[in-house]
Amino acid sequence: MSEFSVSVSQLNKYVADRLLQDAFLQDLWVEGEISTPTTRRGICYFTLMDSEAAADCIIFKEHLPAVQSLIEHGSRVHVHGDVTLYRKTGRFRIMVRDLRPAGIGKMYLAMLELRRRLTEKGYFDEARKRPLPPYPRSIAVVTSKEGAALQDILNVAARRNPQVALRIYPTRVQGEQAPEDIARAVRRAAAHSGADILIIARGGGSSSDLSAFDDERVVRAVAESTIPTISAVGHETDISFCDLAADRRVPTPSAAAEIAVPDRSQIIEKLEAVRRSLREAVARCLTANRSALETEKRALRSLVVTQRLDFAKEQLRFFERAGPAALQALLDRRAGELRAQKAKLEALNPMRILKSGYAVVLRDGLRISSAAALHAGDSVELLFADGQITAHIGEDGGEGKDH
Amino acid sequence: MEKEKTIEAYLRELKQINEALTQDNLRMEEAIRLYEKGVNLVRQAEELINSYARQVEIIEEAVK
Repeated sequence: MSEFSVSVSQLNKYVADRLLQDAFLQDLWVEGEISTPTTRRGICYFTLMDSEAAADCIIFKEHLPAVQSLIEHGSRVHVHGDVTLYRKTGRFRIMVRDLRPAGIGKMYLAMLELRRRLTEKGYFDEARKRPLPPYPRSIAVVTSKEGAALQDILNVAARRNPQVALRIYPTRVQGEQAPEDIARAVRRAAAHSGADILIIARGGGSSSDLSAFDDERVVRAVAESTIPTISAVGHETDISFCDLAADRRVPTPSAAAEIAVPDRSQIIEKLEAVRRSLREAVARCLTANRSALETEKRALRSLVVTQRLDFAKEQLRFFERAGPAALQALLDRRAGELRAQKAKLEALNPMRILKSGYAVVLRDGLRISSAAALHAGDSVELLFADGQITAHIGEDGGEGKDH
Repeated sequence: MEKEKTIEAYLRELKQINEALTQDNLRMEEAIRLYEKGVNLVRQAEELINSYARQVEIIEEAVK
């Protein structure tokens, strides 16, 4: 390490002093075009530029009212002031005390012309804008690999949903080569990344820093992208042609990641809500069906009971009509059978024949129905209607008699 | 308690008596006894049939 090394503060102080001592840099008039003027706490900041270079300008409160009406983006002016160094950043700036109009700037006119041409080609048509897919699996990012923009996007994406893949397409984002570089990266990402969304991002800067994003080559590449695009270039107040050509424009790279990467916890919540809603719908459906089923069941039960009652009534009516007749028929049949048995009994009455004057021949109590069963000398009983006598069988049919 | 005899039981018994009375080897005293029993059964059966007839009349009246 050299013993003659100085601190940055010492260096900047030295340079600032040298600038103040340089008479050329004091009470100086400079011609240029105003770009992106902003006013904060009564102090106006803008960039004064021509086609090749830019310088920071500042107008303090005491000088601002007199020149305020002349400060407009794209105005060509002569500024009068001192060149000083802003020691905190090491950048020089013109401390403007006066300002005179010099007509509309050439660069501004050129920008207006480019905008007209790109509009005519339809690159900025609202009708061309496509919606972003709500659940991308992969996102391509065209940006500088060293810039804070990339880190912001990586941080936000990791926080919201680490499962969404990011494919980075590094590019220069300022300088002469930047427009061609950016356009090439956009075309490559659109053709080969397989991503669902393409983010073109760059952090803030002066309007000359951001000028690459106004280039026609970049605008065309973005407009022709087959993937829906998000442009996140510069600060909230900067609007580039790239912003106008993209499907969505957001103020910062972080905002691009916010809208491109779906929040995992929100997805889970949404899925939970859908699941709850489905479960409730199924439960409602089941309840409704169960209730309908109960109603049907009651109706059916009532129908079955009614049908049974009807059947019983019909049976009763049938019985009322046919029962007594059937009973009577059965009774008549039984009475007929009884009469038949009674007649048969009468016919078999062992005493009946005796009443007609006949007698029954008995031997040992058994009826003798054949003469051949008897022999001479046999004793038999002769049964009459009015009594019984014993007889003896004689020869040749002769017979004896005992009383 | 003795179960009341049905008309069918009376008929069945009468049929058996009539069949017995046709047997050749039946003693006269037994034949007379069976005959008298049969006459008695006929009387009881006729009473039962008359009782049934009255009940049928009552039922006919009730369902008119």
